[in-house]
Amino acid sequence: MLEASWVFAFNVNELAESEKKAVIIDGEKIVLIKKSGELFAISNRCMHMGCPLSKGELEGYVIKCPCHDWRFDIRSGEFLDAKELKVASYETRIADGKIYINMEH
Amino acid sequence: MDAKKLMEQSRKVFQKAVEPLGHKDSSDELEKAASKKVTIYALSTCPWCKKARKFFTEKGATVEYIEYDKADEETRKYIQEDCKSYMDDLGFPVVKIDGEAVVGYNTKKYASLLYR
Amino acid sequence: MDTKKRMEQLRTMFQKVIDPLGYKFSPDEEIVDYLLEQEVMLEKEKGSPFCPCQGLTGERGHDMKLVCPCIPFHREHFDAMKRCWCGLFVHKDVDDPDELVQISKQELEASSKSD
Repeated sequence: MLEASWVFAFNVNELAESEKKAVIIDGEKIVLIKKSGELFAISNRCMHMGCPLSKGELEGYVIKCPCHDWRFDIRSGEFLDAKELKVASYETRIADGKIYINMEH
Repeated sequence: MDAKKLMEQSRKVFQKAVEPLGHKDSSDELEKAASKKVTIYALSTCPWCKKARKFFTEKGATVEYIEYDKADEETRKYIQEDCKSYMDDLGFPVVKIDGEAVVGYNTKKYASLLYR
Repeated sequence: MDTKKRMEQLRTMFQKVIDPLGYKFSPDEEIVDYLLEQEVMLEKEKGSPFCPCQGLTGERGHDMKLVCPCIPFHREHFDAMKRCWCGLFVHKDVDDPDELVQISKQELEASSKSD
C-alpha cells in the first residue's frame, strides 16, 4: 500500500518511449517523461516564465523549454546553465500498470 | 554677435552643464572636446546609451548617434562586424573616438579620450 | 495587457530566478522602472522581454541568451561587474549601483591576464 502522498497519474500504457505527458495533480502542473524505459516527473512550468516544458524538445535527458530554450535535466530538474536553479522533480512508481507520483518533493 | 563672443558664451553654457558632474573643464579641454567627432553605437531601448550621448553633447563634441535596433540590415551587419574586435557580445553603448573604442558607459574613459 | 501590470508580473517572475543566483533588483528604482518598461515594449514587439542594452542578431541561439534575466548565460562576466550588463540586477551586497561600471568581457579578461 502506497502512502497518502502517492497519487495516481495515468496508466503506464498511455505513455510511449521518449514521450511526454502533462498532468495536473493537486493543482500542480507536472510533466511525465519516459526515457530509456525509465519514468521521470518534473514540474511542467519552466522556472523562467512559466512556459509548459511538455511542449519542448527532448534530447537525451535534457528537455528544452519551447519559449526561450532554457534546458533542464529531466532526472533532477536542474537547469543546465546555473546549478542553483531547478524545477521541482517528483518520484514515480509503477504498480499494477498504473503510474503514481509522490507529491511530497 | 561676433564669432568670438558666441564662442565665449557657449563655453560658459558648457561649463555650467559639466560643473555638476564635479569636474571643471579647462578652456583647453573644452577646445579639444569641441574638435572631436564621436560615434556612438546605441540601442533605442538602452538608458546608458542616452547617458553617453548626453555626456558628449554637453562637452561640445560632435556626436554621430546610430541606433543599431532601428538601423537597416546593412548598417546592423556593419556594426556587428565592427564590434567583433572589441567584444564577444553586442553590449551597447559602444563609443568610438579617434579610432579607439570604449564598450559600455564609462565617463572616466570617455574623458581621457576626449581630452587627449 | 496594461504595461504597468506586465512590468509587475515580470518583476515577480524575475525575482524568483535572480535570488538563487545571488542577485537583486537594482536599488536605483528609476533605472529599474525604465528598463522593465522597455522590456515590456520589446516583448510586445518581438515576443520576448529581451535585454534592452544588448543587440539582437536574429539568430535564435544568440538572441535567446539575451532574454531577461540573462545572468545564467553571462555569469562570469556579470559576476565580475557585480551587475548585469544593463544594470537591472546587481549583486545582493551592492548598495550604490553608481559605483559599478560596465566593462566588456574582453577587457576584463585582458586585465585579469595582466594582473
